[in-house]
Amino acid sequence: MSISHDEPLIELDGVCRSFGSGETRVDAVRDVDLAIGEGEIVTVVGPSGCGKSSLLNMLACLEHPDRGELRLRGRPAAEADVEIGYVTQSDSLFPWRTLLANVEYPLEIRGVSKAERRERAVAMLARVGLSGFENHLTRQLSGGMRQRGNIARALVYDPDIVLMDEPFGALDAQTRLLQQRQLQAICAEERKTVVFITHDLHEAILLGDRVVVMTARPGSIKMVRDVGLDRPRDLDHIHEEPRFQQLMTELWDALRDEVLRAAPAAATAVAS
Amino acid sequence: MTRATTTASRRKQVPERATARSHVKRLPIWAQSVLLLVAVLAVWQFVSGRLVDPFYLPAPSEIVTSLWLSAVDGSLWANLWTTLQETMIGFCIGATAALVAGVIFGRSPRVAAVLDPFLVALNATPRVALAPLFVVWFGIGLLSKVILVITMVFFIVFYNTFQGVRSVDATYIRVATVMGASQRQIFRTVILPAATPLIVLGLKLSIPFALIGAVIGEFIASSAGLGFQIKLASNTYDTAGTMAGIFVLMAVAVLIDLALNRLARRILFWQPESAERTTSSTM
Amino acid sequence: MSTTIPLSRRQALRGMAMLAGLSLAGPVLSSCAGGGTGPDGARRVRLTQAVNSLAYAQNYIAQRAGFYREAGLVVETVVTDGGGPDVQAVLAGSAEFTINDGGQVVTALAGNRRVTAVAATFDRCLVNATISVRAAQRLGIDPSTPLDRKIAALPGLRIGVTAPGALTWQIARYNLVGAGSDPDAATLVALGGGPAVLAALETDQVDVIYISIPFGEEAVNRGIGLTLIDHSAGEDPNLSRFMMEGLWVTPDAMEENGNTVAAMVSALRRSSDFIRTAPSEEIAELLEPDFTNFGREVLLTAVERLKGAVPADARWDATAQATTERVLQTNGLLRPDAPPIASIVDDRFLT
Repeated sequence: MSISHDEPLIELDGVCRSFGSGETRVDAVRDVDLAIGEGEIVTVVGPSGCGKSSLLNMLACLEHPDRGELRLRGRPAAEADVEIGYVTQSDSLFPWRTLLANVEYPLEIRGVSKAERRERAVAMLARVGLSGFENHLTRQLSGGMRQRGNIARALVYDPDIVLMDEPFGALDAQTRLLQQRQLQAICAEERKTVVFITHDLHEAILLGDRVVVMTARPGSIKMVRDVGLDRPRDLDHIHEEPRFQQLMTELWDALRDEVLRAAPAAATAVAS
Repeated sequence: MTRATTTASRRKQVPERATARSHVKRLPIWAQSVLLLVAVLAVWQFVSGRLVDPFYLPAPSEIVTSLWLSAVDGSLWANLWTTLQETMIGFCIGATAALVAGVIFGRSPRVAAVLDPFLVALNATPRVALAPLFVVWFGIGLLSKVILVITMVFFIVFYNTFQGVRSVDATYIRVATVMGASQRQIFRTVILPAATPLIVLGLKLSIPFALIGAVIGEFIASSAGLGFQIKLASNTYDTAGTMAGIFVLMAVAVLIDLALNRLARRILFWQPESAERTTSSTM
Repeated sequence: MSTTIPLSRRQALRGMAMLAGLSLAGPVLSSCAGGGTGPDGARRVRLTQAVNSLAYAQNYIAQRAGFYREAGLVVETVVTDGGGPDVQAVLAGSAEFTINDGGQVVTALAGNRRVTAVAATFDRCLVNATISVRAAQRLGIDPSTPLDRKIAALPGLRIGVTAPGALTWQIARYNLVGAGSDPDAATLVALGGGPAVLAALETDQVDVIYISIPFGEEAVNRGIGLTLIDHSAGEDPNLSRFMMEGLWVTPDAMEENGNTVAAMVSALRRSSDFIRTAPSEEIAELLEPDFTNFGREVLLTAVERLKGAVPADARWDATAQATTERVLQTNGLLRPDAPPIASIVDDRFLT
């Protein structure tokens, strides 16, 4: 598939973000420069606590950079007319709504008519394979189904950017595989710009057009690699491809140093 | 529609559970409760007049007779109506004020921080000791009882609402914000529904206190009401009448609680059933 | 049932009384009887009364004037804050004596529960009716209005009393029936103690109050009230004599502690004689420390009324007994199993 890099949708320009003040000040993100094009899927890996979530929160406009600038479609984030979908790590479907009502929610707050939002939500649920579960409450759904519901809710209002914060982190291995496969299919159809955060390198390569490796805190960009594997990818056999193995080795070498730096205790344990 | 599916799935679980139980426990819960009540009453009926002077502990039959007499001559209904009026008016005003205050406090940490010491102090004042003052300030009629009920109800509902609003999972709010919801929409569609279980709990917990407030008010100054009826009976050594009045109070509290449970089950249909039951036991 | 109950059962009864009591059982029940002999050979006894009131004037006087001491008694007075626990304490044996009105005691008796009156301290109703000046003007009532017209004005008014079932409540309803109407024809508002009843009259929340002296007299003194019916002077011929207050003991105590009972009776009779014969100023002076809320003037007025309400022979006559029974009957408080009044009055200590 062809990816247009000419007009970046997201531009991060020397973005810094820190918390607290004085001696307790902690730098979470430092000097991040990144441009993400329309329709691109960028996966971000890094050791835990490296500011991945902070980065994502800034993209979601929930937090704002202390220094540097975030531009969306060339305009400062606050002024940009860009819709964002957001899939959290934890299950964030509203338990007081049925699955259908959850997916209708973003349309409801946009004032979409009842008939239309029902139609769109039902269609979106069918896309993520949740037909027949419309009237279930979230507590009646499995973890994987809930996360698909989350994705459906984030996509139903057709956002320009979809942000995903380790959406499959809490799922077991088999479920995660199914979810990844489905997400790839959806992304292919929707042609969304996706920023996908994960701690799983394997997942990052499977799903991304580009993989960004972040350093330990303060988080900055250590390495960016184009995946260069054709889509649609055969997730069951992709790890047999030489390009995949090469990427895996290269990225892991970069990531490992950062992981060890982030967790010195573990580093000494490995060394001894 | 949603309810239909939930009850259907509940019903499915019941027979599975029942088969695992022994024969005795197969009786429904309510039947076991009734059985226990009957047993207690039977022992009581036997003991009264044999082991214990019925003047101190009148038999259930005497209490029923006393109840029947006051029901027939109409005084029971008039008094019950008076007390219910005081309770309900006070409850509605107190709960509404508490909801509003709880939401305001929950939404603005500064207001909460500034007013918190005052609320703690107010809550610590013994309402029962204040009751005579309320009679002086607000007169001997309905108003003083209503005020007393309000003070009993307010803090329970307030603290539960406050907690409910404050403890809303931040993820829900973040998600709604990103999806483009305004502050107002977030409040209506996220914070309120998320806080509802605690608010309902507060309302349920406050009902017995509302009744107690009304009755205490009647004890202090009144011309009618269940408190008046109980006091009349106790002042004239009518133990059966006293206990009859107390039982009516208990019955009213239980009935209101049952009604609220039904309502709560409708509002909180999305909560697991186990969470709905725990509330009364905290009394 | 015999009168000798095994100890364990008696204790059980006491326990049940506390359980059942909620409002009947008072704090007095939890403490044990204070019987015994003091270091100087004086007998220690406990006496209960419902409230602090001039209706118990003889007790205050016997204490202050040293009549108890001279009779070889140390008397501890327990105020139970309302009728009920006062009689219960004597029935349960945690107090030896109670000063109480006949109606209150009769209601408390049934089965084998008995207390007996061994001396009468007042034989006129000390609960007076006082009307607010505003209501009096509205109804055209002044001090010269004849009694039947005053009683006839009661139905439809708001009447302040202390508590439902209390003597104030009973007398108000008795007067309503005397007016030829239903006892529920007026709104009886239970207000608690004397000060609250007085305050309700002052703030115009009630039209008439029924309250023991000297609260009504205080209202008159402040210019907010007008005496409507002076029962303490026997104004109402239907209530001229009444088993107002007397000294009550259990029949057991009468048999077993006859000397103590006799000593109590003589001390209280000395007080009664004092009230009847001493100058009002002297009596008021003696009562003043216990009634600091009232001015000397009000106390003097009250003492004048007390003087006419003390029976010289410490007995309630047949009229008093019959009237008491009638008041109870009117209020539906005479139980079918209540003992006849004549059977709970004993004059063996009065000779």
